[in-house]
Amino acid sequence: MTLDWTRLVRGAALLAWAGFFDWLWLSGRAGDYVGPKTAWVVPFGGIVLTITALLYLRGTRAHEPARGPSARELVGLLALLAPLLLVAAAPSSSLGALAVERKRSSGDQRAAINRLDRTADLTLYDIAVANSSTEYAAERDVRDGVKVTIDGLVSKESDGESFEFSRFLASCCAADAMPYSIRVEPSPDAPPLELSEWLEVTGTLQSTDAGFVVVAEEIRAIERPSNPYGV
Amino acid sequence: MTAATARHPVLGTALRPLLGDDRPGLALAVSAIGIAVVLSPHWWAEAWSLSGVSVDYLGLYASAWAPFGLLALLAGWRGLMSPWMTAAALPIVTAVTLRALEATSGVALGLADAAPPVVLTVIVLILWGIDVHIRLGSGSLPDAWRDRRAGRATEAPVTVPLLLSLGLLVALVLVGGRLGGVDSVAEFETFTVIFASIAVEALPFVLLGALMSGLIEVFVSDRAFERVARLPLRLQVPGLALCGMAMPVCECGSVPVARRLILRGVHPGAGVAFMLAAPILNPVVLFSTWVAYSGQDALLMVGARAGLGLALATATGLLIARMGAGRLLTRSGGHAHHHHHGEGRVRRVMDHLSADFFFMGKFVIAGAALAAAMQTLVPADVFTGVLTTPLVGAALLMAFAFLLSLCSEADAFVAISFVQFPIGAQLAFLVFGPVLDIKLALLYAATFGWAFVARLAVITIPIVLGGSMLVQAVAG
Repeated sequence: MTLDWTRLVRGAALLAWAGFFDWLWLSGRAGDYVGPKTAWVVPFGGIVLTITALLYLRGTRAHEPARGPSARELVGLLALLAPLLLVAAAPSSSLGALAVERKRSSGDQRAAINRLDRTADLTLYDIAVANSSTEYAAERDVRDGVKVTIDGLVSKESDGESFEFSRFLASCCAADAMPYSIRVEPSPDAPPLELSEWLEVTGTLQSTDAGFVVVAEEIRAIERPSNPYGV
Repeated sequence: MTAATARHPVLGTALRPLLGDDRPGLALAVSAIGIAVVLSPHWWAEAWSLSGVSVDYLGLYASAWAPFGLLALLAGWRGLMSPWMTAAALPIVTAVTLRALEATSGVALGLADAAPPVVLTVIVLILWGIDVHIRLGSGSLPDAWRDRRAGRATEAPVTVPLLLSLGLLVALVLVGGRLGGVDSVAEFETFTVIFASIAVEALPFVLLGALMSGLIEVFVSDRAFERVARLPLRLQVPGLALCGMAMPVCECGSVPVARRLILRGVHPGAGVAFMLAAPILNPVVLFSTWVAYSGQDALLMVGARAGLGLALATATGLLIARMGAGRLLTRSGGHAHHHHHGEGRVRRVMDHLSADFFFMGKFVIAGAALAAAMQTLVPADVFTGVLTTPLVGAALLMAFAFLLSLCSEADAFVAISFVQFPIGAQLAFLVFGPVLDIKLALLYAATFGWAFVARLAVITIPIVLGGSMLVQAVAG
C-alpha cells in the first residue's frame, strides 16, 4: 500500500475550502462576503465540501505507486486557494469608503430595498431612497423632526458641515453590493471620525435642499455588524 | 565539470545542471542600478534633497540596497540565476524600493523600515527558486514556451526549489500581510472582499454542477445519450436548451454539466445551448427577476429575459453546430482520472466530481480575481453615468455585465437600478451577463478553447443587441 500523493494534495485543497466555509458559517463571518438572502450558500458549501473532501480522501491509499502531482497542478491548486490566503492575510477586511466611491452609481436604488422586510424604525436605506423619491418618503413617513438611530460607515470626511454616511445592500454577495449614502451633521462634541469607521448615529431628520440630513445628537463608534450588507 | 563544480564539490553536485559561468558584467550592472535607485531620492524627493548623500545614512542605504545585492550575487556568480529571470526581477525590486523610499521621504531620515528590504529579499529568493525549477526542466522559460507551443511539453514534476518558492510565497502573503497590516490598505481590502465573495458564492455551484456531471457520467446509461444524439439537430438544440429550466444553478454550474453531456455523445451545439440557457431559464433566476421588477413591468422583463435567453441559446447552439462544433472538446482540460476497474460508483462519482471541480474552479478563481480588480480600480459611473442612445446604452451595460461577473440569480437587482438606461438596455445586461463574463470567458477557454470564446462573442453580441432593441421598440 502506498499513498496517492496527487489525491492527497487535491483532497487537502478541498478540505481547506471546506474548512473556510465551515469557519464562515460557525463564526458568523459569512455576512462579510455574502448578502443575507444568499447566506444559505455558506452552510450548504460547508457541508457539501466537507463530505466531498472526506469521501475523496478515503481513496488516498493506492494499490500501486501513483504519479505525484505535477508542478502545474500544484501551482493550479495554490491558485485555487488564493482567496483563502488573502483572507487569512487580512482577516478583518470589509468594504469601506473606497468601495462606496467605486460602486456609487447614479441609478435608482428603490427596487433593491423593496424586497427587504419592513421594520418600524427607519434605516439608512430608507432615508437615502427618500432623498430621491417623495413618494417613498411619504410611504415610509420620512419627514422633518423624525428621530432615527442608524448605523453605517463614514464614506467621506466632513466638509466642515456634514460627513457622508453609507451602508451597502447586497442581493447575492459583496460583488453586487450597492452603497446607499446620506449626510450627517455631527454634534460639536463628536469625536474625530475616520474613513470606513462604523458608527451608530442617533439624531433627528432635517429637510434641506440636498435632501434629508441627520442632525446628530449622539455618535458612537461600533464594531462592524455581522450583516454589513443588509438588515 | 566546470571550474565552479570542481571548487565546490557538494554545491556542485546539487546544482551541477545549473552552474554556469560567472557574469561579472551583469552583477555590476545590477549593483550599479541598485545604488542609483537607493540614492535617487536625494534628487527627486523634496525632503531628501535638503540633505545630501552622507555616511550617516549608510545603514539606510545598505538595507535598501540589500535585495539588489542578493540579485547581483545570484545573477553574476556561477550563473545561479538566469539573465531573463534577473531582467524580470529587476523592475519589481526597483519599483518596490522606490515606493518604499518615497514613503520614507516625508519623514526625517533614519533607518529605513526593515519590511521592504526583507520582503524584496524573499521575493528575489522566490523568483530564484522558480528559475531553478524551470532550468532543471526545460532549461529556460523561453524554451518551456516553445516546447508547449510545439506540443512537446510534458508535465514537469515538482522540485524542491519550486516547493520552497511556493512555501516562501505563502509565508510572505500570510506573515507579511498580517505584520504589514494590509487590511488597512483600502484597495487590498476592497479587492480581497469582492474576490473572496465571488469565490464563496460561485464555488458551491461549481461543485453542484460537477456533482451532477459525475452523476450523469456514472448513472445515466449510454443508451439514453444515444437516443438523444439520434434526434435531428433542430430538435436536439432547442430541446436541450429547454432542459436548462430544470437546472437551478448559476452559470458556473452549467459548464461542467454541458461538458459531460457533450462527452457522452450529445451534439456539441446542443450542449452549448443547454449551457447558455440554464443560467437564464432556471426558476430561481426568473423568480428573482420577477421580484426585482415587481411593480415595474415584471411580466415583460421575465418574459423577455426568458424568451431572448432561449432564442439566444438555440441560435448560438445551431450556429456553433454549423461552424463545425464536432471538435469542440479536443481540449481535455487536463483531466487525470484516478479510478480503477472494479471500484465503486461512489468513488467514480467522486473522481469525476473532483476532476471537474479542480479544472473549473481555478478558472472561476481567476475570473473572480479579474472582476474584483475591475471593481476595485474602475468606478461604476464610468459605465452607468453616461446618458446615450438605447443601442449604445445596451452595449455599455453589456460591457459592464461582462466586467462585473455577477451571479444570474442576483443581477436583476443591479439591472433595475440603472433607471437612466431604457428597458432594452437593462434586458441586454440581464441576458448577456449569464452568457459571457470574465470568469465565464476563462472557463469556456479552458474547456472549449479561445476560438470558441471568440465565436461565442461574435454570435451572442449581435443577437443580444438586436433582441433587446426589438423589445425596446415594442415595449418602449
